[in-house]
Amino acid sequence: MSEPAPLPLLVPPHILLVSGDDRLHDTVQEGLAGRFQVQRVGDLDEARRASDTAPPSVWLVDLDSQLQSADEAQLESPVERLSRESAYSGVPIIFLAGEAGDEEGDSPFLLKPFTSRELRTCVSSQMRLSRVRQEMAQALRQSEARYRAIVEGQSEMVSRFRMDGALLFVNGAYARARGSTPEALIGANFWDYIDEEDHPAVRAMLERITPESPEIRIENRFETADGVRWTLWANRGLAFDEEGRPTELQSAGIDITDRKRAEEALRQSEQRFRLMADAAPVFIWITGVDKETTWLNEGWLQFTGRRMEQELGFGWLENVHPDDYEHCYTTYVQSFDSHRPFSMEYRLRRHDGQYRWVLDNGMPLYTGGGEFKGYIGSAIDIHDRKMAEQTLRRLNETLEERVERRTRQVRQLLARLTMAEQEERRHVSQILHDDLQQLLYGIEMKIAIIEGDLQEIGRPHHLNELAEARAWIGQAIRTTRQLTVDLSPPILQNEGLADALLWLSSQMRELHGLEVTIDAEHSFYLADEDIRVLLFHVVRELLFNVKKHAGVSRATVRLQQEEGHMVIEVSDEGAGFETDMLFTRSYQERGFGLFSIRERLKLLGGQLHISSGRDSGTQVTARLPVRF
Amino acid sequence: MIRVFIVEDHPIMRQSLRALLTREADLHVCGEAQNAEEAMQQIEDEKPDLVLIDVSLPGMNGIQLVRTLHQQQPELPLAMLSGHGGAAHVRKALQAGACGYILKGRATELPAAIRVMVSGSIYLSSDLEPFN
Repeated sequence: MSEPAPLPLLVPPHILLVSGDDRLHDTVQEGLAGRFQVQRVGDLDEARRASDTAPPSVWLVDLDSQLQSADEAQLESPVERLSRESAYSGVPIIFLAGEAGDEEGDSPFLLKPFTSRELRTCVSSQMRLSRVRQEMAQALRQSEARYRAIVEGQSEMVSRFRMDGALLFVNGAYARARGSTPEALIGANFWDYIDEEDHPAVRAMLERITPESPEIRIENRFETADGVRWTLWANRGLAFDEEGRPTELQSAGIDITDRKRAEEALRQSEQRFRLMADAAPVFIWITGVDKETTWLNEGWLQFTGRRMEQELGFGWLENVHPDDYEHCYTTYVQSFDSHRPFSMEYRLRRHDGQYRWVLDNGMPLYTGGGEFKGYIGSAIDIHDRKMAEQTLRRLNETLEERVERRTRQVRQLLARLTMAEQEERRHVSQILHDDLQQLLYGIEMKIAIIEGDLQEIGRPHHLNELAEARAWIGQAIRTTRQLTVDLSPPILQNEGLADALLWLSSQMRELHGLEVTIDAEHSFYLADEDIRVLLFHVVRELLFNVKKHAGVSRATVRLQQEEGHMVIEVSDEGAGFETDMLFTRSYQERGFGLFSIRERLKLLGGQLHISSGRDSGTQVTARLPVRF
Repeated sequence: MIRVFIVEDHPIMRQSLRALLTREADLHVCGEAQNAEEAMQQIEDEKPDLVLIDVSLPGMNGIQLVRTLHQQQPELPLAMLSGHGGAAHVRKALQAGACGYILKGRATELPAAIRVMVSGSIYLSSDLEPFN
């Protein structure tokens, strides 16, 4: 088992008794015996020396002893002086008075005679009181130290001053701003550092401080070692006169020069924006996040002839034409709710009552941090343009109608022309066939009859002449027969397109030496004769092109039906040509005839597509809407 | 005697054909018609051995007439007479039931051609387009 820790050595409190009275000393000694150590001195000088050597816990001063020092002036009584010293040193004094009425000052008195208990109680309570005071003083010192540390550590400029301007305290930040030290600035005049222009305003503000409302914030210019800086001061009244006006104030200030400059820059920027916006030949508006308009430029106000306050909020909508109101409002609100840009046209009432079309574009506004701040928009008067557009649209519609009508007429004329041509061909062909050819056939038969008769009677000379005449008649028959079919192939009148093209292929082979393959799944009976005739002639023209330009003796014609269209493709594997030169004058002059074919097909709603290249053959596709 | 019926709309052709055939001792023109309707009415009565039909007739054309007559009298030889020598025409005529296709302007061929067809053979003029 270990030895218990030694108890701390307790030293009894030291009591210094100032008295020349032996009996009193005995009484005190007896009363405090065992718990206090009593030292007795005869007078105050001795007591002070003893106290310097070993400070006591309590002074007991017998007022019946000689207390006045020889060298002390009679400015204050010994009790007053001792009380002051006690307060200074922190050592409590108990005066032992002979009779009531000797008490003066704040120090405690113990009236003689007193009991030991009374003495101990008094001494103990004074010691406790002294300890409490010391602890409080210590706490106060620590608190002040903390406060000072806080104040000194602040970047804020802290000062305390009287209303007349005398600085009672400044912290390091304040002193640094002034290029000085706190000590040097104590007693300096606070007003010397305030920009003179701001004096009246600052003074007026400070005078508004009352005990009931002791705080106020002021922004003013503060003259520092680095020049004038804008400062925000939080002022607090610390002391007031009888009328409640502040006499002493505390203030904490921060440098807001950068903010002020930014605000000034912003203000100037806004001013420039508004100047520019007011001078702009457009209407400019700005809203807040609540959709309400917060500003409109001069252009808008001049146009509507209304005051700003009439237009703010949703007042601007009062100018919108009733027929456009709903569209305008809905577009605005819906775009706003989804933060989308919008563009809308509506009629806006001008100052003279005329509704004019405007084009209004709105954009959501965001801060640099992405926060939605409302909308900004601009509108322009497009009334004249709108009216011109409407007029132009009407004219265009009229023009389109006229073009369409004229196109229909041209198509009808073309159809009629095609049929008239065909009719003329047929008519001539019919005359050739019905009259001339029949006459020739008749003559040929008559000659044959005469030949027979002459053979019977033996007339060789006449027979030779007749044979020659019959040969001529035969030549005439072949010529007219060819002319008949060239003018109007009889097969074209009654048969399908494929049959007519089959016949054409035989003609091309027989007369022009071109082998034409007709690739058709069926006959393709077309309801409109003019279309049938046109397509027949288109194919014949294309086959003539092959014969004349391709340098080959073979071609293929492919017929297909595609969604109400007749598609005919004529292809060869001949010389080909550069298609970009196709519709130039030189090619047209060379007689390709493609230009004419293309134009005719176009007028009937068709197309002509040509695919060709040097030495890579040619493929021409005609596509035409038809009725089967 | 071979009885020949002529269907031809052109009077000069009818007259010339009649004159040409009449010269042949074995040929006899038993009747004439200038269109299909007349022909159909008369042929039943005339009972020809062969009918010469022009391909181009007003109203019902020659090929349609051939088709009709061939359906009515499949044994009756029907000869197509035409100024057109195209293969398509020839094919159509033969498909309709004609047993010959004679080009006009070949007068000297005609009597012999008639005899060939009446004998039951097919006759095609030499100048016709070849066809398949």
